[in-house]
Amino acid sequence: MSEFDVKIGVEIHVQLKTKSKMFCSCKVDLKSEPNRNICPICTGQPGTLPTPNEKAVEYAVIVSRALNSKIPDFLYFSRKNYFYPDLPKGYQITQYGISTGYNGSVPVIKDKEVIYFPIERVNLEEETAKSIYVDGKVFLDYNRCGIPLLEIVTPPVFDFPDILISFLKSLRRTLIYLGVSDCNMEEGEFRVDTNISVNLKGATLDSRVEIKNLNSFSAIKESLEYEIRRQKEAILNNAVVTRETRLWDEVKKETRAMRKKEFVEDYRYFPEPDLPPFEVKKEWLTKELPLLPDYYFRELIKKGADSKEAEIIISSPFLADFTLKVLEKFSFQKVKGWILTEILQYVDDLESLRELPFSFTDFILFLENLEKGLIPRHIGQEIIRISMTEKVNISDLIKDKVEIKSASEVDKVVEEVIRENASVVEKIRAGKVSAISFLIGQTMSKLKGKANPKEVKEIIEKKLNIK
Amino acid sequence: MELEKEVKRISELARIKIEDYNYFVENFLKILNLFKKINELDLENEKPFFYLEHLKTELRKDEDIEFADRELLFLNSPEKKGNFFVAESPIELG
Repeated sequence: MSEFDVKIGVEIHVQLKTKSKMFCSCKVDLKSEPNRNICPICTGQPGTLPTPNEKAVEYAVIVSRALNSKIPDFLYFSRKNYFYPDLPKGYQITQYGISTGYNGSVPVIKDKEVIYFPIERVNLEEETAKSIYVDGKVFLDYNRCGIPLLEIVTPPVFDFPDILISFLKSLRRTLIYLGVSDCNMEEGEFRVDTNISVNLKGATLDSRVEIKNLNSFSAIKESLEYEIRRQKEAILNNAVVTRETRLWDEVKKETRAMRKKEFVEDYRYFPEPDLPPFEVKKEWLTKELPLLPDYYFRELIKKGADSKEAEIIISSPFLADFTLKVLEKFSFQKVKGWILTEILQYVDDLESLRELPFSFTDFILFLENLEKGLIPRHIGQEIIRISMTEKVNISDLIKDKVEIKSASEVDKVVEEVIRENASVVEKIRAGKVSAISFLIGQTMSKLKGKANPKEVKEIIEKKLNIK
Repeated sequence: MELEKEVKRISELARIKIEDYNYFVENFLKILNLFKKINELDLENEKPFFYLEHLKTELRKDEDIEFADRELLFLNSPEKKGNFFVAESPIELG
């Protein structure tokens, strides 16, 4: 048993997918040239006033509901004061005291079960500018400044990095299913700050270290593992673990001190005087939520998927929905190879899969033809390959590849094959019935696969008077 | 003594330089005593309020509108390079 207590909590920042910024009407577009989408409000010019974006508030409420949070009757914003050029007003408009959502939870899939981890609060705030440091100067791009941002905070309830990663993946997936953010980690749309304290079992000392701006799951895992090691070693050597903010160095694979950690009073929070409270609209609370990943997971398990298969399928909300529709007509065992192997081998980024080159109806037709034996397996694989790589509709390919020959055409070819393979025919007549598969293969090859192998077999057997 | 520490901390947070701490401690105590008196009131059934005026924030539709005169915004910047606002870096990168 470990002699240490490890406690990890996280703060996640999620950029919301709105057309305009949180407190001004500037376009949200991070692909624009620097400082293309700016105005007097998001550049903090004196005398300007903020107006909150209704969509962003609605999204924050929707996320809070999906995370099983309590939502107050009214909301207001606060000022978090800090002086830094990435927020030129000198403060960030955020939530303090009252959150959009609080005391929520995130369902996490573990083996075949769904377990819940607590969420302390869901706050709505504004994003900061992008800063580039060059030779003692900072170059600022305010296109990012003011984009609506959700801050989701957990208490320190995670003991191991692995379970935290599962939690983060579940949360991220839920946000993608809700359609409030693409959560692209490389683009910084889903960033994680972790806080970690390692203490000797039973000790009450809390030396919380924060690691900031982690934007990949591997960075989160590696930085935590490093930090747990570092803090344990420090404790064993009677050294003091300072309460501080550290940065993860991706190259050296280590954390390094950035600054002393602030206390909450350093930010001098107070209610934002420019934005009086406003009521949470009833429609935000009653609007039907999309089906969430844990629902799809449970349904897939019920239909016979194992947890690994179900997890792959629910990586994409589109695929989860598509698969469940298919499973209304076919068993999971019958379709799993086609979906998980044949289709997904051509998908590079499963999470961003939003469509397939064929409709659900076309895919059902394809599966029906397979089941009837009208499409041989290898032709089916070829159809999927062409459809996925050349973006061709599957039904056109079925018509093209599986134009089933008429019985008389098949009959003619069978005659030909029997004539050309007299020695094989002799062997079959002498009792080596298994050699019939050679004749079936020859016939199918001449017909370019456009026949039902079962029918071909029956015709050959009839002609050779066997059975 | 405890109160003097508190005043020192608040002056740091507020970025205010105080020379005569005794004066501030004395006045701060008066304010705290006033709050003590307020705390004697029974406010259990009172709704908290954060603003004196009964105003409500109006929310804006999510529509993007371009600000026409972006160049004007650069006038308050200490420096401009290309499309960037440029300032002295507040941190030293090690």
